[in-house]
Amino acid sequence: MKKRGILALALALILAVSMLAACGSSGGGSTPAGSGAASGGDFAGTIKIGYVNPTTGALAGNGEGCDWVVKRLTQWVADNGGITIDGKQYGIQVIVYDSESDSSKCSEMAQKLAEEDNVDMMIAIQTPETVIPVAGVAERYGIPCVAIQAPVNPVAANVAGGDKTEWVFEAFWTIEKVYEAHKALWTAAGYAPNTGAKVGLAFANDADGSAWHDIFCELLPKDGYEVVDPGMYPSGSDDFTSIAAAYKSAGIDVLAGTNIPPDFLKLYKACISAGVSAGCVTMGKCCLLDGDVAVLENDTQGLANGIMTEVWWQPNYPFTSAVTGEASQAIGDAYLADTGRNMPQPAGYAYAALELAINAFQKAGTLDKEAVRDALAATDLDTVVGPIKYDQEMMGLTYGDTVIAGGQWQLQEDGTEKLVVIDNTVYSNIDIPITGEYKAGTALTK
Amino acid sequence: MIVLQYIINGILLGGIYAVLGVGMTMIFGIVKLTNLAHGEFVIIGAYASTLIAGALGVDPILTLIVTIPFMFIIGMILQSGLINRVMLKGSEPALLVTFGLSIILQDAMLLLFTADARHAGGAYSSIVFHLGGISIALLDIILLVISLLTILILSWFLNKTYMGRSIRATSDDTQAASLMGVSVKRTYGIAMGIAMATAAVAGLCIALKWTYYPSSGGGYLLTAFGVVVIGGMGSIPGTLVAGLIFGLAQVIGGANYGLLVGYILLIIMLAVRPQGLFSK
Repeated sequence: MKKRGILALALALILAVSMLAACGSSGGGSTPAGSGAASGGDFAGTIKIGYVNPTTGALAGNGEGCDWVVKRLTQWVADNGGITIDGKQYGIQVIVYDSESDSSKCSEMAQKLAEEDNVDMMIAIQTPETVIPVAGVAERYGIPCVAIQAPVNPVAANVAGGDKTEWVFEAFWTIEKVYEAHKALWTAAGYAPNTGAKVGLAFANDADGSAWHDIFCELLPKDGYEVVDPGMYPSGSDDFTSIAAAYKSAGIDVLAGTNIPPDFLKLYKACISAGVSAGCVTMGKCCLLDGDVAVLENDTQGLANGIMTEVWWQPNYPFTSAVTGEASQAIGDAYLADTGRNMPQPAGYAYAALELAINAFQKAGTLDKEAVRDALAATDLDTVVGPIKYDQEMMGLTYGDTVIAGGQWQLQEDGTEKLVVIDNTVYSNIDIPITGEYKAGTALTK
Repeated sequence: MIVLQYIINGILLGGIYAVLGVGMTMIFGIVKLTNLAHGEFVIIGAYASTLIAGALGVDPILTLIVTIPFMFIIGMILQSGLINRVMLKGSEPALLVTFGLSIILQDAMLLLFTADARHAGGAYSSIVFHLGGISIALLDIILLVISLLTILILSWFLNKTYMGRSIRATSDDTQAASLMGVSVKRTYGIAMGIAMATAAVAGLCIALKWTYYPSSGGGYLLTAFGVVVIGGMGSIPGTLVAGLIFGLAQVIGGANYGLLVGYILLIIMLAVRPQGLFSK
């Protein structure tokens, strides 16, 4: 009897594992929590850079390209004689941990980098959900930190909160700037300021959503827009009937917000179902990347068509890295050749983050944390995402602006969606290439 | 008109909640076990439907032909080989085993499928009917029909078949049923198999309507728990009514307060009528 029980148990386990394995064969491979990139070459020592990346999870689209960029720049350092530290040549090792897109895991991994790996620098990158916890740990442990690719406002509010940060240096756009970019897109769609257009807001009550919400609510009336604010919602809500009903009864012209893909899919389908007929949709976060837009297209082909979003980087941007000498387009082409995919916007920022780190160590010439911090603070560098200089401050956080333009997802003849840059007026002094014209129509106006 | 729209949407959502809860209520009522791995079973059902549909290029609904029997067998084996054994030692070890199962399954899914969002789309995903100011998505109607059919078939099975009657007899009085020649352990195995089969249906509904991750099971377990508590532990009609009430609460509370309203309702129910609406 006992033997039969054990046999049954073993069978159950085998069946369960085999079912999971059978299903997994078409679902992509596993991703271990941690991975490292060794420096290569023959060096006197190694500079350790900690990097927490959302390789998997809701933000996985943002984390794409991390391994490629890490490998490319580690190799570049190795091929170019390393970095001079205290008179000796050092290679770099970037220790990458997967955050699984979970903020708690970000803190845990950043702490591991600080305590167990004893990193010389920390990179906090890919949306406020990752940047805030990682930068918070770097500030607590006194580790120089390159914070990048998360809007400045939520990082400033949550990491600095009015107290001067000593170790964290942020580079990205502010929400005031992204508002300008969205406003330019509304204008392109025929909803210019002071025309009385009604803007329906869609924000989750997380750090990012709250920061966007407050600034949009403040700036929209100043530009003569009518705000239709159905209130913020917890990310993960199942039903958006009330929100869609509020948009419909107000007769919104523009739907604007920032959401993760699962929330946006529910919200957008509720709007379509309710018959909301906004002529213009601008949405951050969920509509930036090919992979995330694919989740929408997987539901219904053309669902993402016409949605507009902010564009912070594309391979055709007119920038060249002062550290490696590589032009933006050359990097994008190499990525395409290696992976068969267009280099996503966040991967450009991953490249810039490592450029900033390498530049700081080159300038400091030592691993002394305070000296590296001072070198980082003095950054004035042309990166692949544009010039970065930490010359501004918000709530105690030192930051530098990066460029932003406006784009639209347009359905191509082959049935795929392509992000086309249609507006570059926010940074008119920089020649960001326009790759197409605004086309009217979204899933809400069918 | 807007009130009617809210009620319809609440009912449509409630159908999915009911099918989420029905597997859990069976295990509560018959095996007298709180199955903490039910959420993970649902997510396994969702993955199975999404991946089989993707691999074979068929409509996700058709995958039920494979996933229901498969999940039923897994459930039976799991109950017979694992849970029945620990139940001899009392209900607490069995509860802990389901908790352990939940963690193992979640981590196994994370390892196999990564934590990326998944979603299954059907040809009918974007079809919406507009009838006199009321909008209803075809997908929601299909999911409601699937949920109602599942619950009706289950009720018919429990009330009209010999096996169903023996399951109910075991639920009412284990000792008496055992004396009448009913194999209690086998009955428990079948009950778990049925619970797993309903999890396959719930998983399909979730995959079609929302996006999910390996970690989504916890949230759905909580929803299932709410439905079971409101409806009455072990009551199939109670689960249906409770699912609809829970769905309406979500819609009335809106995206902003839906979760809050649902759980306030749950606490009120626990305080006022802990046995649930339909429990004896």
